[in-house]
Amino acid sequence: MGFQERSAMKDAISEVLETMFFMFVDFDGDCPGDHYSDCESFISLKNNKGRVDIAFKVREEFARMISANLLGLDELDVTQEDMEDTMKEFANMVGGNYKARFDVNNQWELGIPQFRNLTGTSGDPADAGLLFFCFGRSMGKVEWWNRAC
Amino acid sequence: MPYNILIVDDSRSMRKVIRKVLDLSGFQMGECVEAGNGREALELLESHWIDLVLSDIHMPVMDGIGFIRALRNNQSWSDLPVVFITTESNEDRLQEAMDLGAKGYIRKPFQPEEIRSLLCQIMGESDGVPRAFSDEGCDF
Repeated sequence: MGFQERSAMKDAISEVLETMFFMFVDFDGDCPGDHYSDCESFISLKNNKGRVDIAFKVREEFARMISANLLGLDELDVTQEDMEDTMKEFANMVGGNYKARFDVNNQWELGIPQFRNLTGTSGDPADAGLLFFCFGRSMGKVEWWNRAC
Repeated sequence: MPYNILIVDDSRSMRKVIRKVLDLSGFQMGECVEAGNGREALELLESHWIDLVLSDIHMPVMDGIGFIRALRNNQSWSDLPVVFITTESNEDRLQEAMDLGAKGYIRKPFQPEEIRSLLCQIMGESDGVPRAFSDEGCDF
């Protein structure tokens, strides 16, 4: 993942979180190591040559926080369904925003976002990733896989 | 005059957010119904009188483009105002939506004021006062 793509992903995440979720995050550089996550949402970008899979692996605390902020709820009132739906919408908006930043020729198509619960750290090493922090604490990471057709 | 609204989005959270934005902006809403995709929306239209549709484009089963195409091919709904609220950034696809008679589109992520401004334009301001909005107006 080149500098430009990495920068575009940071900008996409920041814009979506600030505009729709009223949250501000900081980023670390590469994150080769594992990061504990409770859940993930993921989305694919496809064109005729291949696919980019993007996963957002986060702590439940983060998923609950963004759900509460988006829906205007107290964090204690956020349900599992709220978190799953919000995490999928988060992936959808970041994926769309990221695509808009590089796909000037309209060659890529955004897939349908999905969600799953995780048990601790998980496999399949990514081609690239970024840790993101909120209030100085690591809250999650975004990972990319570039896959040829 | 209150307007009956149909919100079409596969995300339940986003439907809630859009409904809340309309509430907070002082939009004079009558009935507000929700659908998870274009096909569900077409079914709801059979049994509800709707004045305005706010729809996503990117949805499973029937996407927003298929939905507006189906509306335009049905005499009962051929003039129904449709606004898209979407992550879609493909200009060709957005132009296709406009060519099919969409009144406009708003890209996610959005500021609530963007929805209010566009709806003001669409629902008419003949005397300088948006007919669709109450006196309380918007306080974002």
